[in-house]
Amino acid sequence: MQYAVSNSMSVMEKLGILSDAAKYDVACTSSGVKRKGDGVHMGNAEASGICHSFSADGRCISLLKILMTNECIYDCRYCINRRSNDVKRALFTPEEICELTMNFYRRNYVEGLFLSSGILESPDVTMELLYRTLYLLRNRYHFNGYIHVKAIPGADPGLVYAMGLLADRMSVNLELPTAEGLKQLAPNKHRKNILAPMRQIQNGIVESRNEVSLYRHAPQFVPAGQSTQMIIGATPENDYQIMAVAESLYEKFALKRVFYSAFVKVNDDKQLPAPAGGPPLLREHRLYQADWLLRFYGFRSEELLSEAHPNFNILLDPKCDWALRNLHLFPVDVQRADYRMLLRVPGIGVNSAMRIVQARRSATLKFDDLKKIGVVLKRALYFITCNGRQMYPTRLDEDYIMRNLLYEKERLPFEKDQVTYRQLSLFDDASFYQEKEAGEWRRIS
Amino acid sequence: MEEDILICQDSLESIFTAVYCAYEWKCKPERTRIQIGEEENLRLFARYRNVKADEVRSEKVINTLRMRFGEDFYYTVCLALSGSDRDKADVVYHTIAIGLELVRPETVMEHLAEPCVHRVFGLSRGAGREYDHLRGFLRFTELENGVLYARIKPKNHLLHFLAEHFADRFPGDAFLIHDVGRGIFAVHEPGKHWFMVQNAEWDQQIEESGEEKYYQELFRHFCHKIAIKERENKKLQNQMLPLRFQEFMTEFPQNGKDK
Repeated sequence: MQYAVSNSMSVMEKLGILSDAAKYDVACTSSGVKRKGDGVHMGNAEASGICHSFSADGRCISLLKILMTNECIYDCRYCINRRSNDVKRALFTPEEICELTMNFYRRNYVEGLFLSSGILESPDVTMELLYRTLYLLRNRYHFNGYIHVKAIPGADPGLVYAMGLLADRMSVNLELPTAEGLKQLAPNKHRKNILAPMRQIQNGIVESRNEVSLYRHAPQFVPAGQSTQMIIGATPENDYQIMAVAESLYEKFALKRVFYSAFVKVNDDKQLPAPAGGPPLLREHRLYQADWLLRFYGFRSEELLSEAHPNFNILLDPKCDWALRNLHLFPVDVQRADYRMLLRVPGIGVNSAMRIVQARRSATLKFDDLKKIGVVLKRALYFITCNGRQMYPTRLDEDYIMRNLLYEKERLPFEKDQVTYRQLSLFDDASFYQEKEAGEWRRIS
Repeated sequence: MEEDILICQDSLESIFTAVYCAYEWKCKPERTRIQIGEEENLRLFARYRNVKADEVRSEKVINTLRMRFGEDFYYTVCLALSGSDRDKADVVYHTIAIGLELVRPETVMEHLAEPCVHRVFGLSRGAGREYDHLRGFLRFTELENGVLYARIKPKNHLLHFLAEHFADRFPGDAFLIHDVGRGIFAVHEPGKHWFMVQNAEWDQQIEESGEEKYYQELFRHFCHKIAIKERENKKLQNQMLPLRFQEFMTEFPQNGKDK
């Protein structure tokens, strides 16, 4: 087989092509593993992860995120690097990647390496290239920092295992939430092939933990856990289906993270939707909010959504939405409510709930104290009492609270669509339409 | 009732000595304040006493903090005292006083309803956040002689935290972190413990190494390429990466030149 990859390209050019091709990969965290430096070689790792920069789209740059090559034998419809696209192709040599990683790390530009790849010749050949890179980096360059590497579905399990001993985190991309979607948009990929390495990595992690607890210096397999990602909005799944998939991934595959990536249309293909107004960022944001509720707040996906109510409210975050549908549980008293219930109050997060539980042992908390502790009172005040009293006299009425919550604008990480939602007033007649200044007055349809 | 006001200097040693003296002189915490430097407005009914920094006494306080309050609390206190707020010594002293009254002093940070504990908590959280930022946003440039050189200008005095972090990360490299605002350097030589240098002359003439320009250009190219055009959001970028850090960062060359 002939490849269009040319070897005469400069590293600068390759880096441009291969980071451009890797940018749609979401996972860029460097968290999950704490490793002290060994006193001789370069590198250590922090459990919390470290963000080194933020790109123009506001996403964090923590790792040197590149593809080994953007050459690919597959033809996935959503992917910029698919076989049938005419894009410039490039291939890094393992040495080039090692040099780049070491020099970037030394100047504190990045926290480590994120290495993925298009499929060159076959999954095994690709995986071997990735392995050779990691082996060099760990054993010849003695790099002790963070490495996140993709496992290629369909590659030999032996290779996956060997790679796991060198990497900190591994991930296999789920690509699309359901098997039907995958069949439709990625004809060369199969759900079964994706789940197999995921299961293997999961088992490897458990085994390795057991060994390490017995023998302290046993080799660690993927110590920072595994993650995955899926594309949101390329196929017609609803939020309920997506959350159910994420939940089962957390429970059955013990994943550390599931990432959601708003679909960006890069190919003109008749099978792909054309989202009006760019990538579905609000939907992605709501999914991440719900993902946090699953992982840290003890929510279940069926509490947040149901068959009858399959999509997230675009106006309210999932937690407020849940609270409004379950008003019979509120208000709760901060002095007496248990930790799990406190977590469910809008405006109280994991940290503030913990601080409340600690602080109330030694004092009777007042609303002033709650504010100091970090509770967002403008949201929480409808749902809590201090010493049996509410902050202001409010009604426990769904419409009333909803109106007030909407009045306090939610802080979104991006500009929302141009529609503004305001309380109806006398002058909001359909015929009363005033264009005072652009965007200030708008009719609500 | 007369108040005792202990005056000390802005250093860990001096502040801890003042805490020691407050106990040595049997001052009542509710009628005692520790103050950094002279106050402009003198108070009536107050006795001003100067404290001279003393290594032995401050060492004793540090030992008590570590043994009875635990390492976490000691770390919190050090972070809180790295700021430039005037009241930091006083709130730390009162937090320690509250802690010593408790059966389990290590739980003192849980008493957030106490104003001074809350203040210590807020100060250390602020400094901790800046430290977390700088661990990522600090940029080294390689000089001609192979030494890595970084400039920072933090609000809090975080040099020793940062030097500790990078000494663990780059044990085999010589590096220099320059706190431009305070004029202090942290120096690390390969395989040795790091140390701080005050009042040193910095020769601006030292050239960057030959490779340096090339890697800076590579990283800028990378940052440019990794952004998704369809999602561009400068506001979010500036929110996550405040402008005051961008001054010394390789990937924002325009911000550095303005200053």
